[in-house]
Amino acid sequence: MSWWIFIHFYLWQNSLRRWWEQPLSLLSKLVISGLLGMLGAVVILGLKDLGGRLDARLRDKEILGVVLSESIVSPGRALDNLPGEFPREAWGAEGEMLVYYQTSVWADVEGVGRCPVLAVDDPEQLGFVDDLFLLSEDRMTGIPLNLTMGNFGSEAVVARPTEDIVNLMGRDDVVLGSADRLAGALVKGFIRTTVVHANSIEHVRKIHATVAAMAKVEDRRPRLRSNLRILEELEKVRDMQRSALLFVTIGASLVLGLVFGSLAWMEFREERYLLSLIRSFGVGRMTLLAHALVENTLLAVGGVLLGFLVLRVGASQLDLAALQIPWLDSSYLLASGEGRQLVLGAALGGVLSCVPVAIGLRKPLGLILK
Amino acid sequence: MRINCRGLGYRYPGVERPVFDGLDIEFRTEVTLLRGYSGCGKSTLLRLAAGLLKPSSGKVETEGLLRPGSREFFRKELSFVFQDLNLLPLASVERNLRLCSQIGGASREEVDRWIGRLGLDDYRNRSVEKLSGGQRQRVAIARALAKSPKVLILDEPTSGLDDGNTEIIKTAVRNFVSQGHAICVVATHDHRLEEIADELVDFHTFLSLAE
Repeated sequence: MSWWIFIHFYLWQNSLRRWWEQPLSLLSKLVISGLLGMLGAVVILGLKDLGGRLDARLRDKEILGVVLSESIVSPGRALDNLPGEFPREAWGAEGEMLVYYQTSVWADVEGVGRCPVLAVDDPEQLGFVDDLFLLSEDRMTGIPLNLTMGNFGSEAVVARPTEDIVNLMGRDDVVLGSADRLAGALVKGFIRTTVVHANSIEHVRKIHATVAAMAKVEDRRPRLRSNLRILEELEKVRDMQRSALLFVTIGASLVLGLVFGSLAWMEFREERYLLSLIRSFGVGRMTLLAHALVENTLLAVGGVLLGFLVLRVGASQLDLAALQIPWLDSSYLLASGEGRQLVLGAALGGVLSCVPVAIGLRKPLGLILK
Repeated sequence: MRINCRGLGYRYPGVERPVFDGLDIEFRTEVTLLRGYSGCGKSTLLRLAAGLLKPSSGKVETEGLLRPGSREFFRKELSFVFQDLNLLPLASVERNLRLCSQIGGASREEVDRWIGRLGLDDYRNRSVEKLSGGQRQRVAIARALAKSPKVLILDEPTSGLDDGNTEIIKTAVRNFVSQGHAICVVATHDHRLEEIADELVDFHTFLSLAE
């Protein structure tokens, strides 16, 4: 075993001599891998920034909102006779779902005038108690106002509307109450609106598929609104970003493999007599190949890390915020999966560069040794 | 122990005419000296016998030896001294010998013994790049003998050497082979080496007869 250590020690001594005698070869390897590392890092940081913004956009509750509306005409007295709701399971186990009933009844509110009446299944979901409210954006909250709906008279307390309700009704001053409390207002018909805040594009897509299937089977014509098309466009951009990252990594690997491979082949041609002599002593091809592999991989990875370092030092000297390139902060690059992916790509380039050496080592010793 | 070459032929890649074809020759535990003009195929035969080249036709058979060309054969049984570079540059005389011998499993004592026999004691720590041609060739012979090979092949071992260095090499090779444990094949132009030969083969004539 000790000869194996001696051989590797000798091969490293020989590599150091070569680096010393031909510094341009060493420098060109480091500079090329360093530049590729820097370039790759800039692309990665840019793409990561873009990806982060896309992800934030995709996680936005507004953009993931789904609104399903369906007119229910003259359902009769009992809500139990309504056409079936699209079951909660169909929406997916996650996400937040609220059901609103826009009645065809108007309420006269003291000092306000005619206001539409909106019922909800569970007011507590919206943060209200089971009472009647006048939802207004600018009236003083907590004030009780008299209201009448046909023969029915009651009081409504002023409260602030939720964003969903403002979007749904498209106006201020709406009377809100539970479906049980407003059962009489629902008798003549209403628009049932289900608002879902989905968790992901998949969730939105599932809702679309389920509603379409159920509407077809039950011959219903619900109206479904969502940002699915925009979401899918955003998803495409995110996929492109992932592909670009992969492309950068593979491209860097190939360029490193080709450049290092050319240099490694030139070096091998210079040293093939010596390597063949060592082989004639009984040292296996794999031992020599392993040395070339480790040497090239170390230089490729070292160069890329050097590129990261130069970028980091360079970026630290600049006011990135003032230059409007805050994403160029590469301090986290090494800890990130993308940075590691690029380093791995460089290592792969180092491995690829040994292919010519592996081919060269297959040549019969007797054709080289004189 | 013997190496038997049967119907051996070799054609270099890209060359139409073979160096030789249908050659039958046997090497035994003695010193066989191949003589012949440059380019007649002596070195090619040595490389084929050692397994450094694969024959275009025919085969190399062995008795009491590992398969020529195998890593174990190179490691334990073969020592080949080439015409050109035989030593590892950057390394000292001792390191050259020790490294090659360690691969073959030889002892430290054996290395020291051959350093002494080849008159290299004074240079043992000197880099081989700082040695004269004669000294380098002595180091190459010492390296070859230190691992006690079963097959010792020398290709022009004394080419360009003075009488003093040639004498040291002759003595060392003769002493080694006289123990009767090795096949030694020497290809040379040098008539001074004929004294150590048990068998002298005029390779050019041998090839003519074979044809």
